[in-house]
Amino acid sequence: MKGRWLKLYAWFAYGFLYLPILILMLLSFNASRTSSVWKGFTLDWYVKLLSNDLLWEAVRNSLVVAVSAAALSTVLGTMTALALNRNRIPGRMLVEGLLYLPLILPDIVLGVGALVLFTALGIKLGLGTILAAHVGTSISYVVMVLRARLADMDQNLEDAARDLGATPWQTIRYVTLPLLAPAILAGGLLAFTLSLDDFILSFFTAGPGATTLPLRIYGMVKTGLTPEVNALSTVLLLLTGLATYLYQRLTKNGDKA
Amino acid sequence: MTPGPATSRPSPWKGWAILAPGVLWLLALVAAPLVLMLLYSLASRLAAGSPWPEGFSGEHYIRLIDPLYFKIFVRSIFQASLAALFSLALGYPLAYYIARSPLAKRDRLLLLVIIPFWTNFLVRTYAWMVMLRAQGVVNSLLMATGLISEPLPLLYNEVAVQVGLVYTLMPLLILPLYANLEKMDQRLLDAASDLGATPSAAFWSVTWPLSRPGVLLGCMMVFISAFGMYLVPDLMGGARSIMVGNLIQNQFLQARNWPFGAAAALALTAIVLGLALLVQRWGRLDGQGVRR
Amino acid sequence: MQGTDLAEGTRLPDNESFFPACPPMGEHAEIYWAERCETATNAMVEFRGVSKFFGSTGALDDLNLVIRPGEFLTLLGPSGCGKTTTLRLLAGFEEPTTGQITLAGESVQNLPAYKRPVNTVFQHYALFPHMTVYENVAFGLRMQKVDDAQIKQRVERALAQVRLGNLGSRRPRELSGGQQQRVALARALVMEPKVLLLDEPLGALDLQLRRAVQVELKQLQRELGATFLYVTHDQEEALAMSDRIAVMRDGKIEQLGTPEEVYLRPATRFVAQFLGEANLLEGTAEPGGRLRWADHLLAVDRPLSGGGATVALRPERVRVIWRGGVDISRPGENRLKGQVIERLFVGTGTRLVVEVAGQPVAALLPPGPGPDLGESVELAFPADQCVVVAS
Repeated sequence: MKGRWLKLYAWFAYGFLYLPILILMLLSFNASRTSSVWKGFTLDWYVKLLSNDLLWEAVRNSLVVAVSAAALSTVLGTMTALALNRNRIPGRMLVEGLLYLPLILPDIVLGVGALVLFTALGIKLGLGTILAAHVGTSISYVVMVLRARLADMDQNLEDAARDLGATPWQTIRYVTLPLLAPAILAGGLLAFTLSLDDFILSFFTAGPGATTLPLRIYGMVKTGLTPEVNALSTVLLLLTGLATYLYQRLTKNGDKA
Repeated sequence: MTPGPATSRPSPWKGWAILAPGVLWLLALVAAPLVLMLLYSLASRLAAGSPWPEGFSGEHYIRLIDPLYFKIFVRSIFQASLAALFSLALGYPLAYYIARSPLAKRDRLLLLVIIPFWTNFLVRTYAWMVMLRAQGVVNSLLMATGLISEPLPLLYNEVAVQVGLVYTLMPLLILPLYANLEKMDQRLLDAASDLGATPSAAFWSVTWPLSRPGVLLGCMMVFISAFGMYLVPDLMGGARSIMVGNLIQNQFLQARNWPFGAAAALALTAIVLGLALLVQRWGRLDGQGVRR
Repeated sequence: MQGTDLAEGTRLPDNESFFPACPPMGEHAEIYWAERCETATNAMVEFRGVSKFFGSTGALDDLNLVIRPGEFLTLLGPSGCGKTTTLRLLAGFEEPTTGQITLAGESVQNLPAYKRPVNTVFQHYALFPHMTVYENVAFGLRMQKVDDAQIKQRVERALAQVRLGNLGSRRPRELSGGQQQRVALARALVMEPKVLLLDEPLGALDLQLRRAVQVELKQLQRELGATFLYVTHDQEEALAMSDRIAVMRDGKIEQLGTPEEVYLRPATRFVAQFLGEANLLEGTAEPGGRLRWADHLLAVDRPLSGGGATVALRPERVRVIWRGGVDISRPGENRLKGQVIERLFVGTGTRLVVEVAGQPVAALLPPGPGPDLGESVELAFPADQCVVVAS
């Protein structure tokens, strides 16, 4: 098409996407408390981060929840995806609809819904309720990732395994799962990231003392725009970059022999 | 007629046994809450001393039509629609560019879009706050160059909210659109050109119509996310730019009017599901011009 | 005139059947009598009254077939004829809607695929990409919990049989198409199945390789004395390799017989046209049993009774008498006069189309000089080459 203009525009668009965060990263080294004017290089804010106990507690909480959510979502999501793959399931449409809901509904609806559920049942809010809510929404994403991979996979491979005498369980264990492994990992990574990044669900299902990182950041932003948030943001950005790169590597393989 | 994939002979109930745990979790945390919220929204009030609702009344839904609250819905739809349109205008050329790039470069270009997409939402919203606030980057720059003597109130208004929405949600449109454009058969454009179409004509008569499913999907996702957004209007908007998300949060956590909050949430849900259905019906354009 | 050069079992004497238990079944009973009346004890596989529907779409309609032990039987037909469905029914990937399938005398009803003593060579090989060649071939034995020493012995022997002995540690994606195909074969053969099922295994190979592999496969089958059920749409392949061919169309077997029978004595129009090329001459039966066709009276391979009839005549059986050639016709043969309207060199000879009384007749000349376009020629062919076919 309009080759050169398009390329120029692409640069502009990428600039738009990255400029604010790059500036943020830059400011994290700025030796000024409030101003955005450059006042000198400093690592003070990173040092302050390290000694911020409340922050570390939030980090720990987030990691615990994220790892657990990833594990649970992956197991449940994998089972669901396998069960839906090529089996006759009565009521399939209902299950598909149910899986579709978390993908389409705004998080806030899911968040207040979970709050209503826990309160009505008398369940105390805490890390557990956050975890439950995260898993509930992540399963659909894991299923989506696995289905994409299952659709790509040569269907004859499972037939071949059965033809050679593998029971359904052996087929899953020796053929299906090994071939799905990268997708399972990718799904797990996705669930992990979704949990780590989640604000709104946690906002409604967190109890006192069950603060996750995004909630802590929210609090910090609301109470005063300390440059510590800049430093924290920078760290998160770098970690995200790494995770994204890993995810892309994992979802790339095809198995056409 | 070629036979389809092997039909599994294990009984369907065996399939359900493996399906059950996941489905149960979803029923508990997604379906049941929706039902509960319906009950709450049709109740008069919360029972004293208990979290359960009592009474039956449609008053909360009626209250939603009150101009005070209705205005919030309208504003949210407006902001969400604008966000979808801006995301489309800004995001389509980028998606197109990546789809047309040589294969080796494509992965990296895509990665550059995915990284902001996966970056913590708060961080990205906060980045714009840093840009737009009184001592923020934009104001500091303008003041440093002497163009203004006092900082401009760039933050805490509807424009700021719009900027925040587009910035955080644009990748949501780029990715499905890219997936659609990538599969497009280049030979169709060759054919158009062979038949005398200028690049511009070829784009509007071939590429654009074929990219419709991707466009619809991307716009829908941006709209839905923006429509139910809480964070961006909360951090970057003022009292006069609140959206449905803020309303719901307010009713649940501050005003403690759960029935009304539930009604608002369900109204939001209904609009979103209705839109999704419309797009599904409307976007029926499978397989045309798709390679393979 | 009854064909005397036919293999046993395709012609029923007009008066009685050899098996009193089998009543004569009408005009085309000859086509099926051998199968319907064959006893089950000498059969390796038997399909009885098998039909298969996918939803409302029928794939197989009342299929009856017996596969003998040690034979190479090919299911031949165009796509959609039901040949692959038949294979999959035996393999256990589908269950028949009606009918019975028995293997070595025992019904395989509701026996899942992984319990059936048959193995399949898939069309695109379906090799496990995450396992080496050795692991692929060993897979079935592992599932049966055979001990490692045994596995090693059997796998190495299987690989040697398909001449892939030193490639055990490679991965499928590192192999050529022909090598992959052999791995798929070894993987199935190592299981020593009662029947080996092959689903168009040579489709992805180029012509040269395909021809070579056809010979190898046939040799292998003979050496092992194994029963092969082969599916293909390539009639040359079927003719070259099979002991018997079942020509299928729309879920039914149109004809079952040896390659010679099926080629030289096609039972129906479809079979005549599917295998090689055939001139189909449609006419009416005359008293005296001849065929009136295009103002000529032709003697055909058996006396006709009244009504319309069609005969199939192979172009290579038509002798062309022309100005520059020798008249090698024999007494009693059919002779037609016409003009050459088409002439094409096809490598193995020259294909002529001769217009006889407004109708085209194809003839295949051996390589060498021949008549030009527009020349008048005479066509000669014996009556027994005019095979009466059902429509």
